[in-house]
Amino acid sequence: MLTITNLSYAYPDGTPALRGIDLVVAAGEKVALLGVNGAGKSTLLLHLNGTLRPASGAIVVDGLPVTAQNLRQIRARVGLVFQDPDDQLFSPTVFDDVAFGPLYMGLAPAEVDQRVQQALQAVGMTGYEQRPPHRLSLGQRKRVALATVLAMQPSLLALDEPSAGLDPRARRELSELLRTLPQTMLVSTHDLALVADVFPRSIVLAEGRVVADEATSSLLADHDRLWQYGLI
Amino acid sequence: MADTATAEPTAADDGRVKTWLALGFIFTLAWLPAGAWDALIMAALALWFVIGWKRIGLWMIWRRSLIAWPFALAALTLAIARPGAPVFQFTIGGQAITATDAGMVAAATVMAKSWLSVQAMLTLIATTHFSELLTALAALRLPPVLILILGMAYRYLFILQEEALRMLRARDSRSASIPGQPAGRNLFWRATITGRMVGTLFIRAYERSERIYAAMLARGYDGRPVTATQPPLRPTDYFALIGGGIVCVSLIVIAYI
Amino acid sequence: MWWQWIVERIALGLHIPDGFLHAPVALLWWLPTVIAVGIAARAARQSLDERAVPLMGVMAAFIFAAQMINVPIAGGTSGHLLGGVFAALVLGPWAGMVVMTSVIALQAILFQDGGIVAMGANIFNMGIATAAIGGWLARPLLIRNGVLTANRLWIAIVAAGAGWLSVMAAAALTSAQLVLSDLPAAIVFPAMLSVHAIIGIGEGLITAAAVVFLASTRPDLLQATPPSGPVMTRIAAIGVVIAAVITAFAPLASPDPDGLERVAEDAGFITRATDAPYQLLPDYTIPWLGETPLSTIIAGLVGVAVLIGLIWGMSRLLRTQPPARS
Repeated sequence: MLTITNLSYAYPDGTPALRGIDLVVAAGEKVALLGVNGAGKSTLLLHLNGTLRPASGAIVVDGLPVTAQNLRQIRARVGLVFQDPDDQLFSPTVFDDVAFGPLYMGLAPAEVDQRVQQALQAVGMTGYEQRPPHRLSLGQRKRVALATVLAMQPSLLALDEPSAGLDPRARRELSELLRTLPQTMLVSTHDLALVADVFPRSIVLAEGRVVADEATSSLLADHDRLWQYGLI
Repeated sequence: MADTATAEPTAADDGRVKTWLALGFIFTLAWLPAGAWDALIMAALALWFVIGWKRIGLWMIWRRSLIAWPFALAALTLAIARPGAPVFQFTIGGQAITATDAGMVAAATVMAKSWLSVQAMLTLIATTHFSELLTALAALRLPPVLILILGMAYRYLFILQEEALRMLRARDSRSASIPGQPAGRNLFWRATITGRMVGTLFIRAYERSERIYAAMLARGYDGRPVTATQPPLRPTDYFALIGGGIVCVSLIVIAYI
Repeated sequence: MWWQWIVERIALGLHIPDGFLHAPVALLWWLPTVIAVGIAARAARQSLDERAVPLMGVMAAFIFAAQMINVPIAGGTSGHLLGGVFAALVLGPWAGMVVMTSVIALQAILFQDGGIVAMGANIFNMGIATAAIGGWLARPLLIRNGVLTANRLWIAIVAAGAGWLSVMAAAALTSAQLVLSDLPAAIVFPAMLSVHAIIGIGEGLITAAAVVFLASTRPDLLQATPPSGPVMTRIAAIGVVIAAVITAFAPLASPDPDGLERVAEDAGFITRATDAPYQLLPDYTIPWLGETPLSTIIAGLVGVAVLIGLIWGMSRLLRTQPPARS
């Protein structure tokens, strides 16, 4: 489903951000991406749909390598959700925002309608179609941001800190939502409760390298290592 | 973006002196007539001497000065606009176009002045903090409100550019295509999306300004500009100003005599 | 691609670098700029009180960032906003001018985008003229007595028209300044005006979409800024704008383009500027384009633009009632 081989990347100023990442995610797997701020989590996610180009290494999604020629097709397969929903929502209504991706792909109006309904239903936001996004709560905006991507029917979901800033109830609802979604997931987060709840497998990044890749249960049981990685 | 921002100061020179000298140099260049090669060469040598003396890196300045050259193409039109002795002729669309000697001199002069001015600004930016620049402009009697606004704009410039960049990334991440299907609809729709993004960014910026205003009030701001007192210029600063002034005046004298 | 970068920089072509303008031309254009910015800074402070600094400072940073948000056109090239009309529509003409002035100054200082000596002209073209069109031409058509019109289509049309006009005005002013500095009118005017007639469409569409978006989500922000300034300062500013537009279009009036440069050198352009209105656009064609359809179209557009400016200026001058302050 997702294969990353020897991926390296440096910021334009030369600071290395990723140093030789190797990673394989099987179809349907739900993987948590852990690590302190600046470990390279967001940078890695931005590589999945070609927003950033690796200095070296390769990424293959669903059999399709991430290259300049394949960019637009890759973006139909990888649903990238950004940390701040306000970066993602720019339309006067929720409907317009969720419809952007399907419309851009050139789908027929009836199909667009149907996809918007499905996506909103999946995130539990049916009935909010005509609401302006900025009138929604942060938890609701995060759900809509997820719906904007689901409407494109991607096979891989890449979420950047989906629970950041949410209140406890919104976190609980998010956790349930992520459990029910069928897509393969790679989700960066600091939220260990969410990790324990949703993701059977965890990967820890530190200074641009994979330092742990194992079952969540064994990682969370190892207090010393969690401390060492800066996760608690 | 960040690499074009003001760099570390490389010398302990007064920011006001550096700013005034750079502005004086650029204004002097503007007055040089076409074909004043001796003055232009002297100006270039003087500027490059300062760049070398202050260890700024001539190569870096030249590399960045490339930003000016696309517009320099416009200067080429001068070559065919001035009356003078024909140098060469070519035909475009059945119309004969003649480049004259006077025209080519004018075009070359414009390019040289343009290039040197950009280098002077790059030299200033490479050695002066933005806050020092503002101090220098304040000393030139710019309205204090404008100085404060410029400072505030600079403070939030990179933050809002980051915000815009993240929005662009989010849009492009959802700009997908499926094989055999034309993507992107039409220009009108894409322009509408761009306009909405601008509107969204505006709302975010506006709300940010309200938070900043509240935070300023919380620290006792009452709308009056606060200007820090500026230390007096040192004797070396006066020497630098006088030296720079002499160079500028002599450039004008050489050019017109 | 490097060539796209070049195409975009040439196509924008409104940031005049140093070296291009003759020193007297550059200095002369500092004059209306300094007057307008001086008045604008005072007026904006009066109407915004102590909010002026944080609001306009962040708004300048916003325009800077908004210019990054591009619209993909074709083949990897893209267009983006200039922003003068948008700034003046949402903030009012005076605050819009101050904001645009800050943007252009920062671009020249930090990014060498546009010159220092030429900054007076650049601020006038891209800041004062565009904000005047947005704030004094478009804004009164959309916001009456502090209430935004409910007709979305009308908002879109006015904003788009003002956006297009502002780019054309900036291009015409830039061309005029370059021609006054001896660049050939026969190349500069057609090249700048035709390229910017297209670029202006992007400006118009983006501006319209942004304003309609605001009208439907946060109309309060569009109505928030009180109409600014006493009548006299407005009239003074309008006079400056009209004078500048006439100066800008003066070269079009010359029936002998080859003689233009000599006239500019011998007599200065003041003489031409004064008799310009009487021979503006003879026979409704642009002399150096000949009697072609393109020539007539451009002449027509220019004529319409000047006409709108004059009518609107007259109506302003004849208005006795001071605008309602909220």
